[in-house]
Amino acid sequence: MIGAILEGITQSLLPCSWILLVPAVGIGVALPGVRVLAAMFSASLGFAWLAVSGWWVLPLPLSGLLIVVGAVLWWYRDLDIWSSALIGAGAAAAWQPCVGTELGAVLNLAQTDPLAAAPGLAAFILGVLAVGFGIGWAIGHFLPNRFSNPAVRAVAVVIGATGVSMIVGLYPALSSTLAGWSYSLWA
Amino acid sequence: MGLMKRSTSLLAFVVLLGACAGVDPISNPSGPLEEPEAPPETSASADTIPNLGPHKELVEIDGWLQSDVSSLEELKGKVVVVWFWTFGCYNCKNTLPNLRELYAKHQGEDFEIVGIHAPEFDYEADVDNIKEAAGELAVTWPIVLDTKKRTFHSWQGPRAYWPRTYVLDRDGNIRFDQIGEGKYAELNEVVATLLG
Repeated sequence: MIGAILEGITQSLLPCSWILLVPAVGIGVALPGVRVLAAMFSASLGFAWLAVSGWWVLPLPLSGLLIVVGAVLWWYRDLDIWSSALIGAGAAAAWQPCVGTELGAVLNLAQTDPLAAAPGLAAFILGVLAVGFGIGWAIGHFLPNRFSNPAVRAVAVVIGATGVSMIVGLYPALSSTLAGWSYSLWA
Repeated sequence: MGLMKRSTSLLAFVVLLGACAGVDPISNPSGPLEEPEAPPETSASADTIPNLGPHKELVEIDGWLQSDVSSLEELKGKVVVVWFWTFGCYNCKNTLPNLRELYAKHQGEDFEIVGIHAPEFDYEADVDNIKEAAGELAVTWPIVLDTKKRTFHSWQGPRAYWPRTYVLDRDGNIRFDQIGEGKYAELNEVVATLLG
């Protein structure tokens, strides 16, 4: 279990984890309470688990729609458990993981025993989201007047725009550009 | 009473010592000082390896690199490792040392590795980039270009993963399936067993 959390942490910065990481950073910036973070984690785990079990893989535009609805709710009602959960669900449904040893063991198990695989998947996702929440929390503390800072609300717009890109089919090109840029930095 | 307490403590100590040394002190009273006997050599039979059924076909691929072969059918009669990868994938790179070693070890036998390159991002779909990466990563085995990822999803379903490694027996049946990194010893053993 510890291994899966650590692998989630170490893999969180890889391009294949960004779709989970970036919304977590965004939500972390708003410095929400534990319930809001827990809502994103639970929704992410639920939708990721449905997908890795092979029971329900949401098409990318529908994942985008969940994210957009979550971002709109955030914009109009402030960030709460519902907007956080919708964003987490959409992100997890669109997540196409690269797989290391620990997540590999979880996914192999999920092929035959999805229930037994759930704790390991939870640990991995916890690792990824913890990094995102942590980065967001750190950024949020540097923002002046953070509770009324337009930058925090702008995060909802960025997350919503990501969702729109999924709906209209621009997301693959967008993520490719960012990943290609990241690869050129490291290669 | 004191003697009994000391005996119990001694027994507990011996059990603890045995556990730390990976020895069961009850069944092996001689303890960890004696070199354990080597287990008898067993040769696993191919029949003991689960058969997951025939492999799927290559779907709408864009060609092959580093190969004269143009279909998996042509590799019938060989043991084939089918490895789904993309060159920007960190975890795929981590599986490479074992694959390179496996490829070198079984050179000249009825064995082949086929790397099905399914790009995650646009820059990974460029053939020149793939060739360059194959050279840098010392991927010397045949590469299938699955740019549209039709084969990737045909084999794995809607939720597919990098890397994923299958082993096909000489009849084209899947005998090993691993998502992600790991299980290298098992992979190597399956290949060795299937090669006989």
